[in-house]
Parts: sequence; structure tokens; C-alpha cells
Amino acid sequence: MKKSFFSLTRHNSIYDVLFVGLFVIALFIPMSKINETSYDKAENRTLTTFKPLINQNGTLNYDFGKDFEAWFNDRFRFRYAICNSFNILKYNLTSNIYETSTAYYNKKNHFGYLKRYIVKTDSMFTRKFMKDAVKNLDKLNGFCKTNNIKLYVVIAPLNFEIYDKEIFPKVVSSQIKRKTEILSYISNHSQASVFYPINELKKASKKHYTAYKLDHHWTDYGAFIAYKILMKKINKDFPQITPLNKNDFKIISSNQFRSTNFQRSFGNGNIIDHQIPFLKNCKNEILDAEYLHFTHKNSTILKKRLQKDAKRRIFNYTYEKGQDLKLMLMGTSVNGSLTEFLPYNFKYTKQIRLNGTKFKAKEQYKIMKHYKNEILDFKPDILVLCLTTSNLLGVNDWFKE
Amino acid sequence: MLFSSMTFIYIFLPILLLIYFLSPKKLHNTILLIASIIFYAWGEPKYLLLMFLTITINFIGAIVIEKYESQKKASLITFVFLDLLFLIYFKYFDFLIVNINALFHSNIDLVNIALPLGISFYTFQAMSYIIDVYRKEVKAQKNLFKLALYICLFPQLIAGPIVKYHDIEDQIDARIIDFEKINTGVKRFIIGLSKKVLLANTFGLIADKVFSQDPHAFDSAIAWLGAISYTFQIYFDFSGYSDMAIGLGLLFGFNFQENFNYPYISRSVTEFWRRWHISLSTWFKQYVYIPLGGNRDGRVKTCINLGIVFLLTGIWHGASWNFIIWGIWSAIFIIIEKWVNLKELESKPQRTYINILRHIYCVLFFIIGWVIFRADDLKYAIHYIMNMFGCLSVKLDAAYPLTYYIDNIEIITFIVAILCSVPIFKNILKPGSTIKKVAVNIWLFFLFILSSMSIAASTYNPFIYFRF
Repeated sequence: MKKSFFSLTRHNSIYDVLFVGLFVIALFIPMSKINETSYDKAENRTLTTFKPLINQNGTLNYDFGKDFEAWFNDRFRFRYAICNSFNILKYNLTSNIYETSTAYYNKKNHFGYLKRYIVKTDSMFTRKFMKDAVKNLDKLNGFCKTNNIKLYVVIAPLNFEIYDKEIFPKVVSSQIKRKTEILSYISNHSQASVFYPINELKKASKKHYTAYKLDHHWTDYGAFIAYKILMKKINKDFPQITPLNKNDFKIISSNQFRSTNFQRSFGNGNIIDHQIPFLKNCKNEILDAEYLHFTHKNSTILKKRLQKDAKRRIFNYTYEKGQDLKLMLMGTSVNGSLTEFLPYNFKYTKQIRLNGTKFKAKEQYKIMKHYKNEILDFKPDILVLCLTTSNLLGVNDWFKE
Repeated sequence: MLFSSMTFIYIFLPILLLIYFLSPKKLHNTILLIASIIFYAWGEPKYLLLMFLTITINFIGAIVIEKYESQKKASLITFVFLDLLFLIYFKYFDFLIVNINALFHSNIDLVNIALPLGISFYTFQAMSYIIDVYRKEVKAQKNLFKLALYICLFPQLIAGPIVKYHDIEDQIDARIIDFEKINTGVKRFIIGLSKKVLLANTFGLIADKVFSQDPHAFDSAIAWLGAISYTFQIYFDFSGYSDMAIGLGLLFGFNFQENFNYPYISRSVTEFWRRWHISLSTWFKQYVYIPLGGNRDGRVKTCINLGIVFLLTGIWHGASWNFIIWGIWSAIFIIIEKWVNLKELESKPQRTYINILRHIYCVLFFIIGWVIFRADDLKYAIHYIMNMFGCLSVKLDAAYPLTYYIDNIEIITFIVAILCSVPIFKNILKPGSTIKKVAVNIWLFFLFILSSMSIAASTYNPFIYFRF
């Protein structure tokens, strides 16, 4: 007798029928309702929009597969609940450091970004890389010398380097040793003035937080410590520039976070809501920290202007009471908090942000390609390059076209 | 499109199942063919034409071979050569140029061709078809679409198993789909998905952490951790994918052959290769080893034939010296075992401690082999293996501690991996008591939910620099 496909004879267990039925039903759930919002509060970003198979101009969209996946991955039903539930499960199974793809949370209440790049930076610091880094540093130094510019390179330690024992016990301290060796090699073999103020920041962190608990950046206090070290070096070459001291600033203490953007705005930890939403309950512990915020007493005199530029991020500062010298401050977000201090020493400061531009990621660190003319036009007396160790991975791109 | 993606599991599969089972039987092959083309084109639209060309060439080739009996050998050579030409060009051309430049100090530019997805698999399937026709094991397929279905059937298109035409020929035209197959297929798919998402991916993270470092930067314990992690990663990744392919095949009525049979319990390299990537090893056996003479022409010739087979097996895996050396690594042990007539030794009863020693020997073989397979280059592999055996001077002052690599999740995963590497759960899908059935179903459904959650969680991508 021909076996009917749909016959549920006694040979087919009801439990298997139930199982297969539930499986099939489950397959349809995520597509049953698509999230149509354009902006997701939880992730703090615009969700991917749908791109059709046929473009508006009638051509075929060859990336339809990838576009569709990106769209569906952003909008399937119960997405937020599923992600949250899974992460809570993972969090409870983690004994010490809970990681997502972008952030980490140490169960001693430190939170931050991008822990994984510790591994990447570590693997990239080969002998060959260090030799190439020295070569490019010297090339930049040579370019500056030719144009009468004094170059200073600050390698900025981040929060997990300063608070290694609190955040990643044993893990990062070994890496700091290695980074210190690597950076010592670079500073010993390069003609450029390079320094990595990890010891000074660690020492200072015993008094006040030099980096935030919920971000990898310096606090104003941490930036002030780095500023003092930098100014010591600058003062040797430019004795007319006197470093500022604490009396020049209005210093307040709060548990608020201060961004490194142009506005130097304050925040209260919303970042946690985006990165690890289920940690809302731990937010109070993370925010339980007093940070020193510095505002120069003449901050109203400092003029700030965002330069109009299609792709680059350039900010101009004018301070009438500053020395009649020009400073160019170049780097990533870590140089942001230095703008609370450095522009007050110089009449003209130009700050160039290398990241967050409209350039593709591979183009970001092609400094000479994108900024050579800016440097030559501005003619700074001093160029301060402020980068993290991972940013330094881009050193071999500095002179690429 | 990956099997372990939201789009495949929650868009492609349910829609295809709906259309397939609501359509009359005569449309089933057409639906599957269209679905397979969509599946392939999803990520690789520009290489669709290459696949169609391969199908067309082999379709014509088989007919020519069948029709022109007197010239069938020449025809076979021609069409197999064309198949291999595509494979060599897309997969090995730049490798050849790099080596020519190194050998002759020339400066030939690389072509920088992207590797079309699944080309190694579908080329071998195509060749198996045309050789089967030559050998008169099967008749040439007169319907181009049926041949196309065989070559590009989506469950096995991208990562195997390599399905031989004679195994599937009857199933194209007449296959039975019943509830039992669907039930087994769903469960097999879930097992494969769990292996890939929950086990392989976890081990992949550990292995990546170790292998991204210089071998001088960690101690032997970490070196072994990395090697064992990769050993598990590659097994669960590959066998997981095969399970998913077999499960999906069952859903649509196809019975594919098993591709893995608990290879890590092997007690000899010969046995390992009978249990690992079975479809590839049987392909080479049927289409290379046996035509070369197999074991019919004495011990020396047998060993040469085995050497050729495993060299080609290594080459098949990728265009890099690592894979070739890995193939040679297998060949050496296979040849030694053949030479000492291990098969005869195996047939005699062995003492327990002998079996244990044999098992350790085999474990060392495949773990070291996987280090060669995984390493970026040969120099790295050598240093890594030296580190494993304490023969490398290491600098540990900046080494990561063990806690950097493993936490509770990884420990649980290791335990589960060991249990899943041995045939403890071999009969899990076989009929049993009601309690067993309910327990298995609940457990599998839980694994499905957990795997889906893991895949879904990987889509969470908060914007980082919103203030900077």
C-alpha cells in the first residue's frame, strides 16, 4: 500500500508531530512582524533600510542578498528581547568579564569598548612593524623639520591600561609591559619625540580618576596630567610657553561623563543602555564615581569654529591671550580632552580628527594625502599627534596615497 | 547565504518548505532548482554563470561520451580537463604565480581572482557525474535541469558532502518524502546547527586568540589549548555543516551519505580517513586511487598511489603550502601503516593499553596536523608545534593568563565537545521509549532556541562613537 505523506498513523509519535509542528511554527515567527522604525533607541543607530532587487534606475541590485540580510538582521520580530535574553544568559555564565562584540563589563563595575582589539594590536606589533613604524615616524619628523614644525607624539593609554588591575586582572598588565617595550623601542629608535605616559597616569589615578569607568577615554584630570607632561617637553623647546596650572581652571566634581567632542558635553551613562541594555540595574554602581571636570576660567574668550569640509573633521580655536604661536593637534578622540588645555597656550590651534570622518576606514590614516596641504597652509609651530596604541597600527598608512 | 544565518533559517527555509509542500509533486524539482539558484546567487550572483557553464559543459560532455563510444576516453579527458581548468584558474592560479615568482625571481602580476563559493565541491560533483557516465555506471542525463539540480542542490552546494551522481540519480526522479524523513531531517538540522553555532564558534574564539599571537609569546599549555580548540572547531564546524546538509536533504526527500563518523575515536590514520570527510575520501578512492591501480600492483605502487591521493587531498583544501604539507603529513602516516600492514594487525584482538596507545598516536597525528592546517605559514606551524612539545624558547613576561582564554562557558563547551566527539549519542535519533522521545525532543528544541538566540544576538550592533 502506498504510504500517504500526511497520514499520522500510530507509527508516528504525537511527540514528534508536536516537535516538527513547533519547529515549523517557530520558523515563521521572526518574519511575522518587521520592525519598521527607522531609529533604534536601544542601539542608538539608524536601522538598515530595505533596498529592492531592482534599483530606482532600473538596474539590478547585485548586492541584494547582503542588503536584505542586513535589513532583516536589524528588524526581525522579538529581536531586542532575544538579544537581551541571550546576553543575560551569557552574563550569568561569565565569572569575571562579560563581553559583547563591541563592549565589555567587568563585574567590578568597569565598562568600556572594544576589548578585543588588545589581541589585534598585540599580534600586529611584530619586529617588522616596529621598524616600519620608526621609519614612518622619522619620515613625518623629517617633513616637520623641513617645514620648521616641532613634532610631539603622545601615545595615549586608555582606561583598561590605566586600571588594568581593576578591569582585567592579570590580563592587561602583561600587555602594558609589552606595549611599554614596544613603545620604548619606537621612542629609542625614532628621532621624533614620542612618549606613553602610563606610569604617570597610573600614579595620578590613585588620587582621582584619570579615565572614566564607563568609557575608555581620559577624564579631564587624566588629560591634565598628560598635558603637563607634554608641556614639560614643549617648554624645553619653546621656553616662552608656560604650562597652565590648576589655578587657571574652575574644577568641579561630579559623576557625570564628559565627551571629547567639540561641545565637550556632559552625559550620565546612557551609553550603557545602548551597549549592554540589561545592565541598567548596575548603572548606579558604574556611575558611582567622582570625576574632576576642568573648565578654563577664560573659556568664554576661546573662539571655536568647525571648519566647513565635505569629508574631514577640522576644528579651529582662537585664543587672544595665547602665545603668538600655532598648534596643530592631530589624532583620534583621545585628543578631544586635550582641547580643554592646549588651545589656551596658543593664539591659534587647529584640531584634526582622523577618525569619524567621511573617509573609508582604510583611508583614515593617510595623513599626508588628506592633510599635507592643511599643514603647509596653516604652518604650525608645533604638531602634536595624539593616538592610542591601536591607532598606531595605521602608521604605515601615513604616507600612502 | 549561510545555513547559520537569520535569513536562511527564518526566511529562505520556511518559505521554501511552504511552497514545496503546497505544490504538486511534479513541480518539486523545479522549485528546488530555483531555490538552489537563489541560494547561490544570494551571495555570489556574478559566479552563477560559471556554475551554469560547468553544468552545461558536463551535460554536453556526458552525452558526447555516451554517444561516441570510440572516442569516449578522449572526450572524458577533454571535459574533465575543462572542469579542472576552471578550478585551477579560480583557486590555484595566483598560488602558481606566487611560486613561479619565488622560484624564478620573476615579477608576474597576480590576477587577484576571488574564489567562487563552492567551486571545489560542485566541480568534483560534476566530474563524478561525467566519470560515472564514462564507466557506464549511469546513463547520461538527458534533462539539463535534472543535472543542474544534482550539481547545484543547495543543501550540499557550498560545503558538501560531495554527492556522487550514482548515489542520487534515482532520487532525483523518485524520492519518498514521509513524516519520518522530515522528523529526522529537522532533528539532524538542529544538531548540525548547534554544533556549528554553540560548539564550533566558541572554540573558534579560543583558537583565534591563541593563533593570532607569536608562538614565542605563550607556553606549551596554551599552545595545546589552541591546538585542541582548533581541532574541535574544525570538526564541529564541518560535521555540523554536513549534519545540516543531510538534515535539509531529508526534508526534501534526499538521502545523502554520512560525511563524518566520529573520526576522533580512531586508532589509526587509516581509520581516521575512513571516518573524516568520508565523501571526499571516497571520491578520491573511486576516481583517483582505484584508476591508478589501487592496491593491486604491489606494496610500492600502492604507497605511491596513496601518496598521490593524499597530496591531491591536501591541494584540494586550498591554495597554500600549508594544505599541501598537511596532505603529505597524512600521506606519510598512511603509507607507514600500509607498509607495516596495519590492517592485519588491527584484525587481531588487542590489549587495552595497546588500544590506548594507538588512540594517543592517532590523536597526536590529527592535532598536529590541524596546527599545520590552521597556521598562517609553515614557519609559524613549525614554531607552534615546537612550543607544544616544549622545544621553543618562549618569552612569558607579557603572556596572557589562562583566564584570558577560557571562562565558565568555554569549560562547559569543552566537556560537551568531548562527549559529542564519541558515539555516546549516536542513537539519539533512533526510536526508543516515550520518555526518551520526549526528553530528546525537548532537548533538541532547546538547542534550536539557544542556537537561534546566539545567531540573533550576533546581529545586535550598537553604534559606538555617537558622541565622538
